[in-house]
Amino acid sequence: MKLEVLSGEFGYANQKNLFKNLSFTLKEGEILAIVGPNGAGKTTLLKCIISILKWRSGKTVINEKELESMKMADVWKNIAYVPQSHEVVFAYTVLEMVLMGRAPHLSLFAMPSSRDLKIAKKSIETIEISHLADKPCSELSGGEMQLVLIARALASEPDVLVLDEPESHLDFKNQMLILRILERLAKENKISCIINTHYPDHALRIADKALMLGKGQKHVFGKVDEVITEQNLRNFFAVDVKIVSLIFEGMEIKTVVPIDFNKKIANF
Amino acid sequence: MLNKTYVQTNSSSVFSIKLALIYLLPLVALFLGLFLGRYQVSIENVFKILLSPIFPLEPGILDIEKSVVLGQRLPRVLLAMLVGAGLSVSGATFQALFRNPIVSPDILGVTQGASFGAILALLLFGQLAIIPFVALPFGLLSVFMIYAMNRNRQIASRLYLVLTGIVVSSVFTALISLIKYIADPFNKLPTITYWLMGSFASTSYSDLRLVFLPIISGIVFLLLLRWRINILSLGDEEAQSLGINIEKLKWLLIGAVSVVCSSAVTVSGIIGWVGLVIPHIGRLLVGPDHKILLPVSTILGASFMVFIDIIARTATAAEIPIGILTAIIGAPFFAYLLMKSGGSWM
Repeated sequence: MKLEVLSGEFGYANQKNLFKNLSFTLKEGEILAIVGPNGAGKTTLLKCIISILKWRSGKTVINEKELESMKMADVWKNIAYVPQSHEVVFAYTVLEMVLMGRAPHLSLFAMPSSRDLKIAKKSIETIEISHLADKPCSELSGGEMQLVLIARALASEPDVLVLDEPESHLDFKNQMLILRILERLAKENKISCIINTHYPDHALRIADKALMLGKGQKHVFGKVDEVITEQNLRNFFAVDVKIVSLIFEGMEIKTVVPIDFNKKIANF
Repeated sequence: MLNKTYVQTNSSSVFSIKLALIYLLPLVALFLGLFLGRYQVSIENVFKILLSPIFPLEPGILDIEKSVVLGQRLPRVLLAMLVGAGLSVSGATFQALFRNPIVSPDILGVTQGASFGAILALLLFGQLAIIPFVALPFGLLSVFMIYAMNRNRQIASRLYLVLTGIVVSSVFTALISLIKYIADPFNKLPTITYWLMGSFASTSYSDLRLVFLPIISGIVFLLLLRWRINILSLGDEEAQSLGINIEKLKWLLIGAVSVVCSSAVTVSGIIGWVGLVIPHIGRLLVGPDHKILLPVSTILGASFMVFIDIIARTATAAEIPIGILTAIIGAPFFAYLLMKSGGSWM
């Protein structure tokens, strides 16, 4: 599986472009992290990549096939989208919710079969939330709900997983849990992941590639170490940072320490 | 959040027994509807009359008993079932479609729109047969108005949705008043007024024939789509990312609901609250999964309407219009829902 975006350009109706000339390639089992300040259009970009929003120009290509020329249901057999976790209107149980991930494989009048049920249960096991299967979604914590949404995405058996800020609003433990799961899905299940994140730390930790998105249509794409740099972070976020590397039990962990606003760039 | 109190027992035998009991209800309703009434017919005779096409009647059973059971009560019970089932399944569908457990076709003004069309037809043509063909376009028009006002709005706008419903139903209620004002006070006004209160009093087989096909096909269509309705209830973007053609599915559902409600309005006038309350009772009993909830709402609605109709025709010497009874029971139940949830879903 290979996913490419070629010269993507997008702006909302009657507004100027949020980004243009945006291109990148993601290979099988790679993780791409999209970082950028609030309002740069990270969520919008995700929606363009997966064709929920239509590119103004440019295209997304998956396995040499243009997304726009594919049938809707076929697109969503390849790509699964995990939205930001939110309040549910109807308190479906976790199993019912995950089963809905099978929708791209079912025709209009079809009901999920026992095979679909099996796949849903397997996704629940993969994410290790079997103990929640019969719980109504309204009773879950934010972290649990995020895991359920990831399990639902897995139930469609995708090649690409697209996640919108999966670890926002979560505590340390749940953040780690989500990051570990994504790493595992990429390495073991060979699922490519695209995530939006507010945490450059998290990008450094799990991503292979990074795309930094800024205001005024600027962006950089490349290997994560080459994109998440002190200089880029200062330019895009208007904050002076130090990237510190520390070794813990033989594992190198890089972390970004913010120092202060960069007064020259930040205009108050 | 509503409905988190129901006990999750999907796999257990308790749940199957509960379902079996629910599915038995319409049968109970049917027989009670045939036994009970101001004219006494013994249980034994009701069975004999029902079996009369197979075993010819004994001479002891009066012709009048036969005509009460087969000629009056049977079509009335069947029509009440159709209308109750149709309104309830429509309510459940709308609640999912608009992602809001406090909407139904009568709260959003669909019923009022269709009623306006119906009494317009009564005023202009005075014929029953033409009513559905005028009621339907107005029913559709009112949903379209709601839908247009709520496009591009997300989860935070549930209050907004109900407000737009009030707008639409007010407009049509005003137009209905206008027609009443214009209508001939000795001839057409009483017909229109009594019809608007909702009643099965003058039900005949011709009513049944008129709406049987549209209501049944609408219900079956909605039932066939019931699992997709789950996915639509997640919201537009999520539904889209699960491979659903949301625009197409929405209009299919809206079309089916409009056909069902307009047909129901044609034969029984405005019967409010059923479409709102029955799906809630369904959720309390079996949970929110539309795969089960939709058939259960259909069954409960059919039975509920027959029970209410029995009260309507037996409680007092004169018939009570059924629309009044459903409001007397439905409105306090809605108040109870409001208080129980503290309005937190707004």
